[in-house]
Amino acid sequence: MDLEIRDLQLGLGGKDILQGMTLPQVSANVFALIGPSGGGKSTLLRVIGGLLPPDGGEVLLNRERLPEDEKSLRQCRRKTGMVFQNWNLFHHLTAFENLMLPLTQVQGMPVEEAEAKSMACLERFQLADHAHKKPHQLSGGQQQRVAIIRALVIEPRCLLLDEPTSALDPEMAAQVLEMIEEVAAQGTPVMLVTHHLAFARRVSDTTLFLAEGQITEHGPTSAFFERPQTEACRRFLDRVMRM
Amino acid sequence: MRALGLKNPRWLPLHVLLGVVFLSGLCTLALGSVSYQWNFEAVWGYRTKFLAGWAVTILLAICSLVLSTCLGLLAALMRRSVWMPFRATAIVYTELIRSTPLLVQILLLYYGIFQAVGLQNRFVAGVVILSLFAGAYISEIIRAGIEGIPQTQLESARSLGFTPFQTYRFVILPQALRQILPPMTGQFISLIKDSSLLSIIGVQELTLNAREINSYTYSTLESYLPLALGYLLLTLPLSMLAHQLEKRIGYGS
Ligand SMILES: Nc1ncnc2c1ncn2[C@@H]1O[C@H](COP(=O)(O)OP(=O)(O)OP(=O)(O)O)[C@@H](O)[C@H]1O
Ligand SMILES: [Mg+2]
Repeated sequence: MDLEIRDLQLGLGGKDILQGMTLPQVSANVFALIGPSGGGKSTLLRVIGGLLPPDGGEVLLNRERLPEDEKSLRQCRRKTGMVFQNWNLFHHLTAFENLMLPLTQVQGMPVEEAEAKSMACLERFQLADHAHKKPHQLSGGQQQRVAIIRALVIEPRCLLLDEPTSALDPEMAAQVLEMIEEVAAQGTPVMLVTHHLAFARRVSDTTLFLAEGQITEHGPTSAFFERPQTEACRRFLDRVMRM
Repeated sequence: MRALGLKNPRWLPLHVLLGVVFLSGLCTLALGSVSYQWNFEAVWGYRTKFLAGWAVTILLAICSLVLSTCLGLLAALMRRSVWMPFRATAIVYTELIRSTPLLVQILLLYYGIFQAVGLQNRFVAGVVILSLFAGAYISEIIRAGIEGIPQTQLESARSLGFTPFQTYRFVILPQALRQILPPMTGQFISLIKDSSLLSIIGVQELTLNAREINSYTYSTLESYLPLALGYLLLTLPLSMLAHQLEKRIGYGS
């Protein structure tokens, strides 16, 4: 997947969050977005996902410019899989129904096809036994894995993950991370915001470092972690890796 | 179930039975000491009048439930409207109704307004008053139901590419309905009980008929015990239903 950002501007609640964020075109299958809290990682992911229309500048995904009007943005969201922290699943539907609803209503897939596809996807990630449970009957890790399956089952052009494990205890987080690794290895493009730097280092090809609404550093993951260029980035890596 | 302090709801019927036996034992003792002369025969002769009153009470409650739900929905939507006069009207309506006694509303509306505009039918007047009263409470129930849906649920729908209409249809409506049903059942119970106050404007419902039977037969307990029983027969099943619904809405959160 190619990503390019040109002078991206965005304000929220009267506050400038992104002030001219820029990134030359980079290609990668897995992007890791890291950086200090409040740096703008979630905001950028929401812009890329078509949830937050920017005030200025442009984002190019696979050399295609993100649209600006709500209707075209909705079309974009339908082609993008997104999973955020927690409580992604619809509370009133079972795991299976959570997959079925967007497939049949939004993607317009015939019911039989959607059923077969949903079940196959749940089986692939060993969640078929839990297909008919509501979210509150699933563990946090299972919920998050179902949420990832829901994002995958539509065969998105890329998968955006914003700290999908931050609300989980270490063991559940490990299960979710394992699954993300498998998805990435099978070729679905992924953009991942995470605090698990060791994991980011292992699975991503390109790392972007965001601080104060700017991408202050980026590069191939191995080089990035071995030889951080800026002082801020070095301090961040030191601080977080030590934990 | 928490409200009843019961750990296992399956024991509810047993608890109710024990409670009834205990309470009726107490009553028998109390009445025994004043040697009350029971005379059910005289009252038995008026059983059709009693049943007719019971039917009117049921009908009153059902008609008022339908009308008050419409009013409540309207007020709740007005309260959420972006247009200020709508919001203001809804706020004044709910606050006025909820801050005055139902009895006062009955007197004021019936003698003050309905007589002036020539609304003669007591049953219709009763339905309108009860609906205005319950509608204010129902609007708050509906509002809480819609506002209780976490923002993340709407965000999820948006991220999946739902249109606003699809979000209402597939996420907001079903989730709000679950929140709304138990308190709505409670509101229906209140409607049934509150309808007894309409006896003071001469609506021929259960309470008024029981009072009339009492005045014909001079047998107070024989008229009023069945009166209480008549309400219990309607409200107890509903209250159990409300508890069942309450259990079902739990998302475990
Ligand atoms: N709705 C909003 N209104 C106003 N300010 C916001 C809003 N959302 C985010 N911000 C601000 O934008 C900045 C970037 O937020 P963002 O959530 O993108 O950071 P982040 O890098 O994801 O941080 P974290 O690692 O804590 O999740 C922060 O300073 C935050 O306070
Ligand atoms: Mg964030």
